[in-house]
Amino acid sequence: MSAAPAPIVTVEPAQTPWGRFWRQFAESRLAMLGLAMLLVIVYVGAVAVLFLFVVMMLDVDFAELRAGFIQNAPAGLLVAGILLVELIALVFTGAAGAIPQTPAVAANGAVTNTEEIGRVLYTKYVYFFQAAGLVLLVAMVGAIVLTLRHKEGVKRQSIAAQNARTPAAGMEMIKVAPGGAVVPSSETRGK
Amino acid sequence: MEIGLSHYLTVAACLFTLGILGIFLNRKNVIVILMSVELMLLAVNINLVAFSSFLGDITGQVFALFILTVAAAEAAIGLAIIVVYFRNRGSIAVEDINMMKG
Repeated sequence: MSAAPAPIVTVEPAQTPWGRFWRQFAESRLAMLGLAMLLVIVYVGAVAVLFLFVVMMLDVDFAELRAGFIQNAPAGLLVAGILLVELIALVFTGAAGAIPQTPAVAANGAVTNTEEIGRVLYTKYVYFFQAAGLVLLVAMVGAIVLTLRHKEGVKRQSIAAQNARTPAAGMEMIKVAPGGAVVPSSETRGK
Repeated sequence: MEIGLSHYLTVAACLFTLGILGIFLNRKNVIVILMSVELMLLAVNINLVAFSSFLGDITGQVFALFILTVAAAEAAIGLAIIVVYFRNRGSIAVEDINMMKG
């Protein structure tokens, strides 16, 4: 039984399939996977789920709402057709022809697309970035203010009222007649 | 076939037209109209990113990021308004929204 040292096997991260994927992910300057993934995550994770929640919550009769579909179809198709033809004609005949038809290669090859966005986003566009954050904050506060409502008739704990309570306010001295009984009034019980 | 700028712009034009078509075909449902507006914003985003890539200017992608932010905020506020409206009136059909007659 010889004690031969076992060869140490190390797997480079880039050799595993996921490692290769992430390496290509990081190195892709032209595909802009970072921005694309961001769009997918925000639209699927936030916007679509929001729409789903509202559709589920509102119990809308979609069959009834779809009633005017055929009636509106000719005008809609006409307008959409004209617009599509115009836009595509603009693409193939307009000033877009002056733009190179191959993606521009980044000047410094070491910088990934995401890094490049970060470099300008946090320096040149930092005020716009902050404004975008403010827009999101205002949207969040606005949505909460719009949809929040306090139901009537629900008992809630009021900590301020509890702390402000004194023995004088919480107790009531009642003179009981001999042989009599005292039924606490609802007013006293509620306190 | 090499995929050039024209192809990206054509896809964006088709998406934008689909958004317009959605608004025209479904004039009764506010939720579908909101979804169509989101689709049009997405088409504009594709245009911006395509131009950014082909011109080698990163500004377009930063702008796409800001459009994404505004679209998310718009969806949140719009849906909140729809929820409040449904709570008050019991319907979100567009033809029932006729209280504010100027």
